[in-house]
Amino acid sequence: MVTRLLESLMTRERVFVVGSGGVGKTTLAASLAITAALEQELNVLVVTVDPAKRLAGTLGVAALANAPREVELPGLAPKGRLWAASVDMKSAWDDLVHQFSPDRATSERILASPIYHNLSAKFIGSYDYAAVQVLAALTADDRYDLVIVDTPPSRNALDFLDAPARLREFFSSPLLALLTLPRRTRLFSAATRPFYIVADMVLGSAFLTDLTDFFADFAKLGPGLVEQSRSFSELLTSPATGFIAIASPYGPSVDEAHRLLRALETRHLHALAFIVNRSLPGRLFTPEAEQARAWLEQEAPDVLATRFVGKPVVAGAILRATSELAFTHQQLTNARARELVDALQDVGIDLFEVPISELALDSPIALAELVRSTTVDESAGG
Amino acid sequence: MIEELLHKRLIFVTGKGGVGKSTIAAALGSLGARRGLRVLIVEVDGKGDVGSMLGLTETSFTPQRAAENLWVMEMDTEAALAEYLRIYVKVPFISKFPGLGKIFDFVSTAAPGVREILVIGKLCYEVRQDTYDLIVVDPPASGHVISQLGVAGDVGQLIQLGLVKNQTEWMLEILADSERSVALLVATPEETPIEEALDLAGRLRAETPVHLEGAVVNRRFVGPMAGVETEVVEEIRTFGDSIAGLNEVLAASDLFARISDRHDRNLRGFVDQLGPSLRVATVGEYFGTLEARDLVDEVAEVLEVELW
Repeated sequence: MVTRLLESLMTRERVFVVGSGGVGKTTLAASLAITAALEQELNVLVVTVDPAKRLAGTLGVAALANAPREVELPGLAPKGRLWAASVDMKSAWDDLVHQFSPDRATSERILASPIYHNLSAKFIGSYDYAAVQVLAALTADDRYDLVIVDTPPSRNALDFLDAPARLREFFSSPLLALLTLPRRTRLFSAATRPFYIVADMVLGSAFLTDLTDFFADFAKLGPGLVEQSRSFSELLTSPATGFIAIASPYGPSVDEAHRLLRALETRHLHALAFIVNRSLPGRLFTPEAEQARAWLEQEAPDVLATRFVGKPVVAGAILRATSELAFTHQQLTNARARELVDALQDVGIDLFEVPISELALDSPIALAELVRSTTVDESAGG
Repeated sequence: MIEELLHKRLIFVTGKGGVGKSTIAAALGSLGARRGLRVLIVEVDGKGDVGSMLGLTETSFTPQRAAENLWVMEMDTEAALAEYLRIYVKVPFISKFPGLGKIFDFVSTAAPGVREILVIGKLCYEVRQDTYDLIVVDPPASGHVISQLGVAGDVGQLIQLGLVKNQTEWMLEILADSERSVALLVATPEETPIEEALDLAGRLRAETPVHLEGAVVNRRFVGPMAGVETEVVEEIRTFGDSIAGLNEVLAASDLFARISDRHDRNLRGFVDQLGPSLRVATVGEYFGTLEARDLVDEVAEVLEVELW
């Protein structure tokens, strides 16, 4: 069923892989990109926005950076070419400062500020902004026919998609304007006086001065950043951009899956497919297998006891050895995966299942194999 | 030797998203509470997972009682800020300026570290207040927790004066004291989570004052067969074609065994690379077969046996 999944991919120029933490976004984004490069004469770029460094190792390259590098696919004879990049937050921010500062003095002051250093390298939220800007550049680059983006881990799977809007809100905020008023004016402003008194006490006036000086400079990046984030928002909703949502069949994923798809819908983003990752292969869990389990439970112990005279063959051992997975799978199928499928019926997008891998996913060959093993759930909408 | 861990004051349950941090945090908290400790579980990410696992319909900044000796609170930076200002900044006019909170909120969003320090500050404050014997923290995913745990030092460097400067000193003291504060690393035995957990372990050691105490490898497929069981399976294979469906069951069992092997290999690599000073406990995969509350109890029992 790899064809149908690929066909879905091919209808877009950009595909974002979304889902909550731990569902396998990075792995599947890389697998899809490899498969696309193998099967189609295209330049495929996979970008990981996840700080995870593992992807580089799996792809057999030393390190990934903001600038894409080509990935060799030895032994796979690809029809197209594969490129890979990852968002390095620090250098992404440095690039942005250079790009959007009105003059060199401003960019130098920003780059030298300890507040900038912390903002760009460490603190929460700034990662999403940097990622958006790097992606805006990469996804608009017409050297690539297909760009597959692995989105960052976050509390809300879509936080990252809201980063452009948050960025615009930040720069248009009246509070930023207050904070970046000339110092003299600010001190005499009745509205902000209590704030400054308290802020002085809490944060110290030296820090407050550093902070306001920094934001006075930082605000100058606003117009450029806002413009770019606006075009990125447009790009996200463009018909050439699709979203593949991923969920795991373990744990409380039904509500999450639904929330995710609804969230895409309310943002006018185009959901292409839903992938249930690490599912157990359905072909092993037929009604006949169910009967065989009954045989194992009821008759096998007696039959085997005659062959294992003098050895402690217990029914429990047989059960554990042969049917643990079948048993647990049925629990899963009935309780979770089917619920998931049912919940997605009305959404009207393709539903795929990627079976749990018994192979270590540590090479392009293993990743390509993963997508090859994908099955499509025909009961879902199409 | 689980006692040693439960007698810390502050345990940060760290790891990448989706590895089951909330389950481990809830299980550790339950374990402590069952042994008579007054336990507070703090959910920093605010998804309400820990609360719902422990049967609470909602959680808030005000701790909710989930069981005897067990409370759950959700970190809310705005509420933490309000509390901070109320306790430390005894300026009478604050309440008269409702807009003040908004400006502070803006600054805390924009200014690096203010939010993080409020979170860490609240946790350390609770340790100092001594209302609870043990505080178990379910923090946000990997990268974010480094910012949070490292923040006391970072902000201390950044802000040289003011109330916050003094605050970071006692906070650092609590965080850096391995008798009081420790981090527990959670991973699953798949390649990416293992790799990321090792990366996180390095960063916890290099960039935060908090002592990494041990690790939990969660959701491990435990190999079903050993000794005579293997022989039995070989014997059953001879019936394969005569019993309909039996080959599928055997194939499913083989798949399970191969995934178990893969998990074992990843686990061994993880233990080797973490180094001998760290203890690693493992928790099996329950395949969603248990209700959340039962799962927490089950995992608590496993941890009790496995840990330390």
